[in-house]
Amino acid sequence: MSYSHPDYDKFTLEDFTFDTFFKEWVLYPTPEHDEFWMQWMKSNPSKIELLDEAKEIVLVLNQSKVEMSPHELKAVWGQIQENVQLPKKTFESQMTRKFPWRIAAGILAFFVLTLSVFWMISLPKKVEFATSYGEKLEINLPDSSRVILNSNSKLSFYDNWEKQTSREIMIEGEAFFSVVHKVDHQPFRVISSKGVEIEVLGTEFNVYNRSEETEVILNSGLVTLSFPVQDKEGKIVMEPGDLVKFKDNKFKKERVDTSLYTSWKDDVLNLDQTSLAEIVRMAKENYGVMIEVQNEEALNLTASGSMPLSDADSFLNQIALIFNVELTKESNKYLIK
Amino acid sequence: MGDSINFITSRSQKALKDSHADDKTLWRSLAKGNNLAFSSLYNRYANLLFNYGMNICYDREVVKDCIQELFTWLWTKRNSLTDVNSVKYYLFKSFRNILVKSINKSRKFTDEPTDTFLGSDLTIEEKIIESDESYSNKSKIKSALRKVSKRQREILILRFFHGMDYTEISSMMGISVASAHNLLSKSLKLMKVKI
Repeated sequence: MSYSHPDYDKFTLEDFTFDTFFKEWVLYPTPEHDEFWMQWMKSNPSKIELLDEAKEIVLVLNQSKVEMSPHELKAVWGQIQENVQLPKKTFESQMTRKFPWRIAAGILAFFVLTLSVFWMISLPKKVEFATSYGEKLEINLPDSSRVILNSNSKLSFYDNWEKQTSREIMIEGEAFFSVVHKVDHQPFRVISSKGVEIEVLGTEFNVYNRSEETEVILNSGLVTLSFPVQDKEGKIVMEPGDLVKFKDNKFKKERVDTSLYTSWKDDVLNLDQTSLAEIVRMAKENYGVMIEVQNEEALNLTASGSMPLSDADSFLNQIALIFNVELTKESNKYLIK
Repeated sequence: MGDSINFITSRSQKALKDSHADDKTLWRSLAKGNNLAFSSLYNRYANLLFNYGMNICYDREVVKDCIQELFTWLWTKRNSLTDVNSVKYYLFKSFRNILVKSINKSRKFTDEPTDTFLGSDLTIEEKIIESDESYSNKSKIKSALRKVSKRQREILILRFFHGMDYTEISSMMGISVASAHNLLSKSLKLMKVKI
């Protein structure tokens, strides 16, 4: 199933009002829009009234748009520029008048600087990044490697890599790494909370480290994994397209389509015979929502294709449409029938 | 310095998020003191913020002053700016804070001591609405929006013009996601009746 138009048949007044394609049709129609909606109205005659209401609301809301005139826009900008330049000027003129203070300030600044440099060198700082449910974060590491941190995840490291033999990062949750290779071949190590260590030089890979299992998916480059079981035996080499699962002190290696596991970083979920059970687990982990599936058999349904990832509500609504199950919401809990 | 190996291959879906990614680039350049990035952000957001502000408080001058304050503050603070998830959300949220503060301040000169601002800015805004005559005699279109409460109007604007999702709206307005859902559907129902 590829993502095209949402299932407008089930849309409410609210869904229509805020649907981009519908809004475009009301405000800036093109023949393409007209054709689609005429057709839709023909096959949904009972919904025409609802559509008209939504149209009216879109028009009303759009009329509440107010803008500054080009002149005002320029005037405010001029004021901002004046604001940000003014303090500089007064600062300079004060400096020249009170000359001795300048020297004193310089000496003081010098001491503060040396002290703080000294302090920074002697104490490595722990840097931490964490994402909440439904949030994603792109992080640039000090060596200009990049990490995309998925929802409900935590990443931390000490910022003293220059002096260390390896660049070390701790991860809980899920993250996609794009590691830069260093000229001095300094290794990059990711340590999961389950004790799995991933050692690389320069490469792209995905780490999944939640609840009971750790998964590493390699996109490109070469990676060695070591497991907490035994030091030597627990070490394997991964090649691009490999997925290694570590669970209950055992690991399993398989060949996979890596895009299925890493598409989340582009806000897309790729499905390949993915079961509803897996999707429900994912929604719980990433959005922190409660989901109860009343029909156990539905959990085995699978779907293939791709869909956009956004907030929990629209995600679950789409899932309900794809799997053709009924979704209801009770206070903080979703029910799937 | 090493060279980067196998940078992420872009996929078609990424195009959808382009404006977003672009925002972040501007944001980072701003943090490095780039003037051009600063003015680009202004050009991109000044009128969006204005539109939003005008739906919270009907005083053109107050809203303009707050935009000025926001961008002045942004430039002064540029060195300590860190990466944000959504530049748009960050700007809207900061702008809202400045606006609410300014409304509360002007309230000091009128009456009553300040209490919780959510309760208090409601009354001052109703006053501003009352005093703004040019507003009250517009078409039926405006009156439909006028009948919804200030918070209902705000949520409609955030969702409609600025495409914010419920998570963003809820943390922006300091309510739960569930109440955001309620508030929005209530305001739509009201609008339906008013039309």
